[in-house]
Amino acid sequence: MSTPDSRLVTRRTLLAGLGAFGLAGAAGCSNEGRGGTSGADTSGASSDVRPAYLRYTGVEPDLAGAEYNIPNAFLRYPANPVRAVEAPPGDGKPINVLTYTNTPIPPKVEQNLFWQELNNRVGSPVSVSLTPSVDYTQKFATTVAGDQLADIFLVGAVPQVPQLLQAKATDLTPHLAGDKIKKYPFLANLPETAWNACIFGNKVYGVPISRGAISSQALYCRADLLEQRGLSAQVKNADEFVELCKALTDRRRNRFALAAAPTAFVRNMFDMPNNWSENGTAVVSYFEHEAHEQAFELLRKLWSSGYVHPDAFSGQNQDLKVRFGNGTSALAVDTFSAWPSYLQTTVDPQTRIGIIPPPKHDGSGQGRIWLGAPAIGFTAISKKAEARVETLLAYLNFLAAPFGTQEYLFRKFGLPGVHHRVVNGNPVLTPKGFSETQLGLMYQADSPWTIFLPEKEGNSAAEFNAMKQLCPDAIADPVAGLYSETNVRKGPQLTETMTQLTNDIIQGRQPVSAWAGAVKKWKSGGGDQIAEEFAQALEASR
Amino acid sequence: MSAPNHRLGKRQPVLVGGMPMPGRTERVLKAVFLTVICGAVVFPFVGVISTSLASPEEVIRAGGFVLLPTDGIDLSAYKSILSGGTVTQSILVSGFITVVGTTIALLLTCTLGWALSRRGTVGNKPLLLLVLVSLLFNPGLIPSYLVIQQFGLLNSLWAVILPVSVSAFNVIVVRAYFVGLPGEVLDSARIDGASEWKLFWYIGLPLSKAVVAVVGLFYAVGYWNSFFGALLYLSDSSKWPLQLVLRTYVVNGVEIGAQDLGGGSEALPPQTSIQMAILMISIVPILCVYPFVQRHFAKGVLTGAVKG
Repeated sequence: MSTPDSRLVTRRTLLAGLGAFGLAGAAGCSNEGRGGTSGADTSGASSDVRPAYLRYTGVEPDLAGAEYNIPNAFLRYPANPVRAVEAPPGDGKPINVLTYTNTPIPPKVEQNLFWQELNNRVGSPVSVSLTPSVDYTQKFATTVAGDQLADIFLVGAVPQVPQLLQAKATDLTPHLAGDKIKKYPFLANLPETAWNACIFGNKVYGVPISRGAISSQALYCRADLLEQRGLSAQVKNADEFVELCKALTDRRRNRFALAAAPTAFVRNMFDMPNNWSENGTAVVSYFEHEAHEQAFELLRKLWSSGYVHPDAFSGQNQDLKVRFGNGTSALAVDTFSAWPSYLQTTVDPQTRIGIIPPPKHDGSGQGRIWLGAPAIGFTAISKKAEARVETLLAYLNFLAAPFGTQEYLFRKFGLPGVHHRVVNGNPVLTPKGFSETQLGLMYQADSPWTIFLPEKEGNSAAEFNAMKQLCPDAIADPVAGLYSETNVRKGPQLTETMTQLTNDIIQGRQPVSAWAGAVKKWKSGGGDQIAEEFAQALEASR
Repeated sequence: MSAPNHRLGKRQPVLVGGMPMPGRTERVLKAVFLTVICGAVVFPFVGVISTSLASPEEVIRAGGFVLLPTDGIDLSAYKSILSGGTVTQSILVSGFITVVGTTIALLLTCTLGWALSRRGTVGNKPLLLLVLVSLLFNPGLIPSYLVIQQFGLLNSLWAVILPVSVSAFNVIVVRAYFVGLPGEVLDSARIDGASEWKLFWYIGLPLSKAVVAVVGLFYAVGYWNSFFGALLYLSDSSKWPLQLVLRTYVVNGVEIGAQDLGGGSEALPPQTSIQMAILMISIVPILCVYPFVQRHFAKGVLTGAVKG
């Protein structure tokens, strides 16, 4: 998966927004590699082609996040959603799409009212070829080899992406660069940094599926359980955190403070850079950070004291949420985007979810979390469909209509009375709606994330406030969205080795001292090469 | 003839199948041991059934695994899978692939095995070598895809059936069985004027029911469980077999739910119940067929194994 440390979270947090594309199987789709090109001769995400950012102002959010670089939050779905797209974007001819899905496949179009209505509203029959996200890389590779790419395709984690795009994808620069994007107002509403992922050799080749702050990882807590025990969700240093974990653990009652090892949280306490950091013109991996030994000591202490759930390193992501939901573990590291799924796993109606901000380990201030990758991937338009590029961009623009519009309401919740019911003014998907709306639309193009948690009063505001507190200071990955060929080819295996070692060290199977040797091996095995390629891509992107 | 043993006045152990009857302690120990082993097999299975039938709250409360549901039986996991019609349709697709695929595969495998088992078939040795080579080397993903594409099979169920209809391993097993058939029977049939085809159809096959049943089971299970071919070759998801559709419910622990919905939805059953229900749905047909084929199993496989 993507963030090097998140494998341990990978198995448990596959769901994470950031993970969604990582599922496709490689680091190429993460904040570790997109955009730019492999060589130094071509430039990366230069500002002269980067599409302009024009924030959509048609819908007023209840809590505006733009100022803090976080998503807007809504407490209610706007009562009279605006109609954002006047004319259907389609041209009557079929639009074929190749993308992945994380949900069960929908019924076929003849039996799917949502799909029929979508075709109506788009003005073209949409045909979607879906693949479970974990298998997408293979599907994509064979499809490319057989020259069977659809009109619109999500770019999979395969090597030589720049060359692939040059050969198979339409250059969108003439349509999207700079102010030209104004023709597609909802694509222009995607944050600037997200476009890094789609710019190769000074050309725009795709439309990003943006995420950003929402896919940052933070430490979730069961605020209600903490309160019951009279504990505070504010910890000032590493010792206080250990104390908190101790107070939340009661092995006889099957209570373990942490649902999984809080690796990311502890690394945040030691101010480790987000995957990569800049050092002059070079970029350096966080693997080389000097505080790893200290961080590992702390993690080992938490593990050996029994504060981490014994099944933390086995089992599935879902178990994490079950443990959190049934109160076995009051703390869990996950992305902000996972909030709704934690809400759904609760048993006790009194459950309240909170976020514990990381302190600096020595108590000298606030720690900083890692900012999520700006995009989880991007979709390109096939060269064969170049003649229809404006129609296809208009279709993607339609799919990116933001929260609060009629288009969004239809896209996510289908038709009222059929696919959703209105409860307290908010749309709630019915089982039929859940089954029919899963056309992988959010992995074709999507609006910026919106915090909207109608399941339970107060949660939208709680998540918004937690993000407001943590995200403005979050550490960004300087090479997020840039492309390194070596990273695509070797990155996943290299990262896997380091993650395995991380897990082994925490569980005491390897000494802390093994880390230094492994980092050396990582560097010579491809890490240095990756760093160099990223440095070049970064240089070129400026 | 020697005198019966009891006449010697010495107490002799009762013989059971030629073996002395074990003592009471030994029998108790054996019973306990076997019960434990059976328990180890049955316990997870009961857990799977129970979890698939337990209520959502109970599953979460129990931490994901329920041994015996106490809240009563809740079919919501099955309902959520079977609603929408995609799963029911895919069961039909899977049934078609399995039945047609197994028939074709058995026909091809048995005829090839027969040809290879007869001395004097044209190109016997080179053919056998070709079969053996395919046992050692697999075609790569992309070459396979290109072949399917050039045969015009993309997005057709034949793309899932035909490429795997001859398995070298099964051919070897069948061939070994045929080789072991008594030559005299075949010779006498030949003297009576039977052609090679008649020998195969009226003598060879009826004598080889055991191996045909076993190899048929291998193929059927293979077709029933296959999803990867469908994943690559079938872009229209309404043609997907059951296993691939079920795979979208449990993609490596990614749970379906709020994440991808971006807002409210009526609570779905917990992922664990769905997984267990999926397990039940996909395993039941195999469990139904297995007992009927089982009696042939040891004989069919062993023959192939020893003589192959």
